Amino acid sequence: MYLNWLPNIPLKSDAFAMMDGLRFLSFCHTVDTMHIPPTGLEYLPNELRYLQWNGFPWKSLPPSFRAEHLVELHLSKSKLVKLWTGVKV
Amino acid sequence: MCVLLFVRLESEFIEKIVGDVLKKLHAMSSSHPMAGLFGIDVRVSKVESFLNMKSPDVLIVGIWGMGGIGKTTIAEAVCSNVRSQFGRIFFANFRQQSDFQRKFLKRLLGQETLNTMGSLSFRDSFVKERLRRIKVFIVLDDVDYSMALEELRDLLDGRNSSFGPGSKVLITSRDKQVLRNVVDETHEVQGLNDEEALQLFGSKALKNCNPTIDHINLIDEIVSHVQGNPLALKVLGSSFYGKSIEEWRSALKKLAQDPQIERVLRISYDGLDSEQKSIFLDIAHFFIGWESGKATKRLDCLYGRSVTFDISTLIDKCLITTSNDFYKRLEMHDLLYEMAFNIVRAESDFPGERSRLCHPPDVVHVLEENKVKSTAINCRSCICSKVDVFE
Repeated sequence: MYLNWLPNIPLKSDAFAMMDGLRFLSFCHTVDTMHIPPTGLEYLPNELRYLQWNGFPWKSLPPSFRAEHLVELHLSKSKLVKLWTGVKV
Repeated sequence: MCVLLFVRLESEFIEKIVGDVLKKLHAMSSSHPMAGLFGIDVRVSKVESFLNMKSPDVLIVGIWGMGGIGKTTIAEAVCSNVRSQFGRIFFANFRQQSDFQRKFLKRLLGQETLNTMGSLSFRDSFVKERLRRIKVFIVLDDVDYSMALEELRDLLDGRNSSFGPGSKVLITSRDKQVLRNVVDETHEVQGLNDEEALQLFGSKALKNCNPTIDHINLIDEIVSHVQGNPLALKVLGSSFYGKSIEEWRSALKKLAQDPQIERVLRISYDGLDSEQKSIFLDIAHFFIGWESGKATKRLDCLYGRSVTFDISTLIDKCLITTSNDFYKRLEMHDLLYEMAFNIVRAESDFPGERSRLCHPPDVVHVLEENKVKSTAINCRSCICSKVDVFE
């Protein structure tokens, strides 16, 4: 789907808390239009297989995110400093 | 120093010539896009006669007809026939296109111009001056709202002073109102006649097999129901291939109850197995325009198995197509795309309970109210807000 306007997405830190089944997440637009919580995301669903978030606005992915099913990760133009600490299996 | 400079320029010059010749050769090559299309020739020549190629007048011709009737196909065929006679060609699908003005100017004035001049608009006198000197062929495909043409209104209204002499514009639409007051002539696309319809349906439903008397009678009936709509004939025909005569009869009954094209397409979708249905919906929501190979790889991960066979089934059933170029991008007819969206929308009144989310307001809604209803927790929710702004 192609749209030429941007919604202002007011994102809460627990926005994905109830979406355990989420497997495919793709945000292709730049982050300027997103109102983001400064503390970062609390949670990303562990079932995620595909994560694309251009301009990911935080320094790291949520610590609880285990990425065990993750196959593809696109975080171009992100503010990421460190993906995660320790080993993800 | 002087010599070196000269050599560099010469090589660049040669490259340019080679590029130009290749372009012309490509335009002349006879790998015709009309192969396998039934009844297209008459329709194409009709449109070409309206466009009056030899006249220096800038003419705007509308192609009007229902979804699936072949408007885009006709426009593409005309475009490929006349390609070599024009300096620049611009073909835009309005349903999928965003940032129309920039793409339009990039195509017609060239990327270099845009790079040097920065952001340009239709109102700039420089742009007007340049456009006036180029003989262009413009196709505005699938324009369904008059508003869509607003940006171009001034250019179209003053057509003879907006574009170079002999420029032509084609506009396709399902809505005759959109074309009113814009076009010089309108070609109303008629459905295929019985013979063409039989050929098209037969080529999909029977491939090379010889039809029995039963088949022939059934095909007659089917064809009369879909009123010569090529998309319906193709999709339905493909879904009948390899099925027994009883299955043909039962599908025909279903068809007779509600012969609207949307229902016809739904018959083909209903014939898929549940994972194929799901893959079809995924493609409609997330992978249109993706290279087929890349999309297949993503879907492999999502389903935890290879989906190559399912993709080729969807292609065989004419529910999706791939582009003719090197990239084999996934494409889907608008009506099928709309069907996919409607199927997912019908899952629930609440966006949070739907299996796939794509429409930005729905995504926003779900992210704002993350108190998703309990049923949705188990549902395989995919969120995608693909907003193509900067290309």
